[in-house]
Amino acid sequence: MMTNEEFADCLDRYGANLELWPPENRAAGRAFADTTPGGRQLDAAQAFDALLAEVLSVPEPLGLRERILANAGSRARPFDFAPWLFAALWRPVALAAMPLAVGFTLGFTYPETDGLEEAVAIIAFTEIEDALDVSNGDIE
Amino acid sequence: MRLVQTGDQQAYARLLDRHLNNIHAYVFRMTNNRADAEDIAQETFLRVWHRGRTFKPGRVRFTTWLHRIAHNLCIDEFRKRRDTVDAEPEAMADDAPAVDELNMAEERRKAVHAGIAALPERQRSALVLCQIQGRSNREAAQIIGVSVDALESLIARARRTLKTRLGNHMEVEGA
Repeated sequence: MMTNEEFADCLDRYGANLELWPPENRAAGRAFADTTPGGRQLDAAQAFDALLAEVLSVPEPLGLRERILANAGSRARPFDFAPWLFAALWRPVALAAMPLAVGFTLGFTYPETDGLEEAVAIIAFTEIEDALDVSNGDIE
Repeated sequence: MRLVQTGDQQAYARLLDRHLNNIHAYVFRMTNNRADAEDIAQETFLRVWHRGRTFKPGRVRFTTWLHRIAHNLCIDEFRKRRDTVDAEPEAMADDAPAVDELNMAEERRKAVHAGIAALPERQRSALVLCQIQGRSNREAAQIIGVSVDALESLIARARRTLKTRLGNHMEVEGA
């Protein structure tokens, strides 16, 4: 059997409709509600719920639906890249191939150097190698 | 919702038909102000339209997700105006007759509105969602972002506070 305090606590937590109480409290709650103090508490809780029900009326939001639809239509939805990308197999493949294509394009379109510039570059590189060998004491 | 996520305007209109009144009622009871309630309800649904793809159907019910957006917008609004919620609903404040001309039912209604408006945000939200809007404790806990136990404590505290404040009106009701 529930105590007065336990019953009052359940009424505060779950309201005056005992059908909405958790199953583990329901039977004990019904039994206590049949007692005089339980019945009095239940009546008070039901009066309270009835009072709360009075505030159910809320002013009609006139024209709000239309305003929302108009605003939703006028503001563009931000483009969602991820679903678009994976909607077809060719799209991620094309995206992955794009840097490769850019590399090839740059490679083929870059102007070729003439023979003299290449020779200078090789000489310069050889000099650097020699200098390194000297500093390491490897030169004969 | 899946159609709304793809940008289907007709599906969006149907979604508004189904959920707008509930969300507006929740926000009105939270803010107790007609203009704020309409602004927040509008922003809630615009977010659904623009960021609907962030909704993951398997993880949470749509109504829970929707109420959570509205709840967070209410909290943002309270922070903006530093918890200065109007004590009376705007609809009544406009051309309210003198107190002695009001009938008892109207007085009670005003007292309940004022009592709910004076509750701390989370208690108010818990009470409105469960006791007035009929959401389950589990769903309300997800909306507010607390455990079910914590939610039940919030409701219990809200009911006790409100009962104390509405003492006289409850005696009248019970008489």
